Amino acid sequence: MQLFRSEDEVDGWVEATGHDKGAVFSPEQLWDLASAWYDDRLRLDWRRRTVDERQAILSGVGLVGDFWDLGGDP
Amino acid sequence: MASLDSTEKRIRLYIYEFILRSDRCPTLNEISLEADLNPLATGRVLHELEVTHSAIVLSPGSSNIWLADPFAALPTPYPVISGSHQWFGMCVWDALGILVVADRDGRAPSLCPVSGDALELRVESGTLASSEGVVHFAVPAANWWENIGFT
Repeated sequence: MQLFRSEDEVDGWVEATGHDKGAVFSPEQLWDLASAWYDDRLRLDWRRRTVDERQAILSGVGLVGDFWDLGGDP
Repeated sequence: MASLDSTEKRIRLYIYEFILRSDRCPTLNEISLEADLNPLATGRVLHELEVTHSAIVLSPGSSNIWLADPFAALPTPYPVISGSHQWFGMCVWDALGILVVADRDGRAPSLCPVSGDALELRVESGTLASSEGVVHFAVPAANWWENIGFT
């Protein structure tokens, strides 16, 4: 996940590297995602969230659709 | 999904607390001393944390921490600066995640990979106070752990 000046730069990166274009969104949305995703790291009883729980976090910040489907993510 | 045993939980938390305090990952010997285990036994715990996707990733073929998600063990293009502390994330998501884990204000400077423009995300009073640019996720969510370094 990289931070670009604008979506034009993302398109330039895709063209230069040959990688597929993925999803583009705002830093504000990323902050919401990070806040929900990483709020549990300092708990002694930490456990990895289930796929359903992780999917709910993504959906909760508006990241929905095939690209965000965790599917077989271990 | 198997839950962590008490030793695994203790070592996992120690790693994070050490990083927050020291701005680097603990060595195998430091973890061994803390856990009162020999290095071989400590290595087994670290490998168990890795294979169970417990947010710890080791350098290939070793028991050295490469990533304690979201903290990278080595410098990256995504530093995070908070007061006298400096940590590194593997990506911009991790950079913001570090400020969440640390529960601190700070800033995450980086360079646009194409234009080279300096960009900065800044967190103040627990909220994103200053943001520039757009975020690009290249890898679909289902494939994040296939190559976490690229992800």
